[in-house]
Amino acid sequence: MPVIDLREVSLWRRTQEEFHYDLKRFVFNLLRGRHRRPNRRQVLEGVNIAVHAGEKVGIIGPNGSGKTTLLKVICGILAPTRGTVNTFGVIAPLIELAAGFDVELSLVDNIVYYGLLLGIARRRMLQHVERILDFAELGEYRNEPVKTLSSGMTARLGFAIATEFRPDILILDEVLAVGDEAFQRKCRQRIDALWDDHVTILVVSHNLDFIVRSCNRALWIDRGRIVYDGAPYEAVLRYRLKVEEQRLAAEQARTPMVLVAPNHSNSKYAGQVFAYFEGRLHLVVDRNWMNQSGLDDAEAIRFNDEILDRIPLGETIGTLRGITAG
Amino acid sequence: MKEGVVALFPSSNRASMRRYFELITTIAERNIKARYRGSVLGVFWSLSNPLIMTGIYTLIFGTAFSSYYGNSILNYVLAVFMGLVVVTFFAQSSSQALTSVVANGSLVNKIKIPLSVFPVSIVVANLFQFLVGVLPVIVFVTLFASHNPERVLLLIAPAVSLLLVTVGASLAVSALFVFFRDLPYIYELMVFIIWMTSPIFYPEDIVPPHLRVWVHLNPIAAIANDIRQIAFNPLAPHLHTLALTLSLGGLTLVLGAVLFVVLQPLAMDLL
Repeated sequence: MPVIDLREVSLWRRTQEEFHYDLKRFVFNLLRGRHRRPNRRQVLEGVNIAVHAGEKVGIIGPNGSGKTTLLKVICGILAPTRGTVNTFGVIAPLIELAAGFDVELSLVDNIVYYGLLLGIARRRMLQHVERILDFAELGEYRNEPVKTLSSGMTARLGFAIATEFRPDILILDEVLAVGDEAFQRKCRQRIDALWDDHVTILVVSHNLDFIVRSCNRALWIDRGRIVYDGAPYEAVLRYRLKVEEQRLAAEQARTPMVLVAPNHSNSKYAGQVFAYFEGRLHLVVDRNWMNQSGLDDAEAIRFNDEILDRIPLGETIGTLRGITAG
Repeated sequence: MKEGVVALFPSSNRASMRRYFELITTIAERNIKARYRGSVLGVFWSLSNPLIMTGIYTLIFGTAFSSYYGNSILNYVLAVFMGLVVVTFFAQSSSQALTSVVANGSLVNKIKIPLSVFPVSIVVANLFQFLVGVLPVIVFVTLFASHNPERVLLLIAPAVSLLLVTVGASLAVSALFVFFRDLPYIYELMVFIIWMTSPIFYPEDIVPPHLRVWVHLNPIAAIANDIRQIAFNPLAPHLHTLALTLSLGGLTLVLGAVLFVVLQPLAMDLL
């Protein structure tokens, strides 16, 4: 039986526009019948994942593809719009360690509070306070407020708390290494110990070599969909190919394409010359090049108004020769 | 969708119930500690606000209204104080709770926490202050005025009502603030309206009779009235009056909780 089971999970999220942030305007719009539903964007689409106990799953994909959102859905922070999410066992999220601290309170109070956030009972947490302070090497600060710690010390404390208990499922958003050289070694040992253990691990990382080395399964996510699910080596290879492909396509898009609106038609663009590059349409002022390059209007017939309207119009430029040269 | 529909509690099993209550007490404790760091008087500051306000109202209205209170300025003072503690508890708790969910927006995006712990723990922190600072004074005044220890027990009813109303309002405003960030200004006005339309510093007798029904439907005014009845009236208050106030409190709590549960899944997108 899988410990993480996602079936047909889709998630729409409201885009953060300022539209409804104002009660006065909301009521006003409602009264005038101008109320419209806020825009929503699909972040995850038909995701199916079954992870079994002990699997180490790497998640790769470009920025904004939904990797962190997927982790949030698995952690139960976000509820899916459609589909079901089932998890079994204690999940420990290791996302941004200092988030749970109240800087005004003492280290001990913060340790107990942080433990509660992770779902560990107060009494159990109190028994672990010494071990945590020991590991973080912060015993002498126990009754000081957290704000007296340096940022490195704070991260050390966070790491020590979050890894004190062996979870069933460990969620890592980028592998972390905190503190100075010596402490980083300690961190790595702890993470490695979890890795060797029967703990199920989900890790998001842009370090593809790390994914190949440390995981036994990889998910490639693009635009909220799982593109590939399988061996890390295969996933990373396919992902790299795709990235290279996109880079080449983007390069091509930078070389301009010449468009001439038909002279004879009653188009509002009639007779005008455009250069299309970087996704924008540029109006070319100097028409001399046309005669020189022997272009005639017939070539541009396929660019009718409908297409031209759809392309955003950029700024007017002097000559076309300048662009092609650049 | 199972997870999304879940109410104020993450789920009904015992472990998460325990976590829910431990979170509330810990956040409340943290709140109290942060508030009174380095202050010798500590929680007794909570008394200073109603005491000063009572003094001001007495200076201004004391002589004018004392005829409604058996021509005794002292009676007016006590009545105003008993009303003020109710309305200050409500106003302070719910205004502090208003921003609590948004203030913890980055935290709830990292760890799964039921959103309702934030407004509820603010009320709990204020309740602690109330129990330590204000309640002994109310009990003392009740004993002093009625010479009847049984009356003190009756105070439990309006106290519970006050708690229910405050939790309900706190849940509602903290959830609405996620969507409407101009709510603090509007809520401040609403609290002021509740304050002014409750017979706190003026006698209910000066309210025009046809408007009096609204006073009785205002839970804050009803609670203040019940406490005064219990403390000062030679006749014990009718139990059904207390029950009516309790049900007003329960109704407010249910409305606030329903609003919170409905808005909770939508709120995550704006935090």
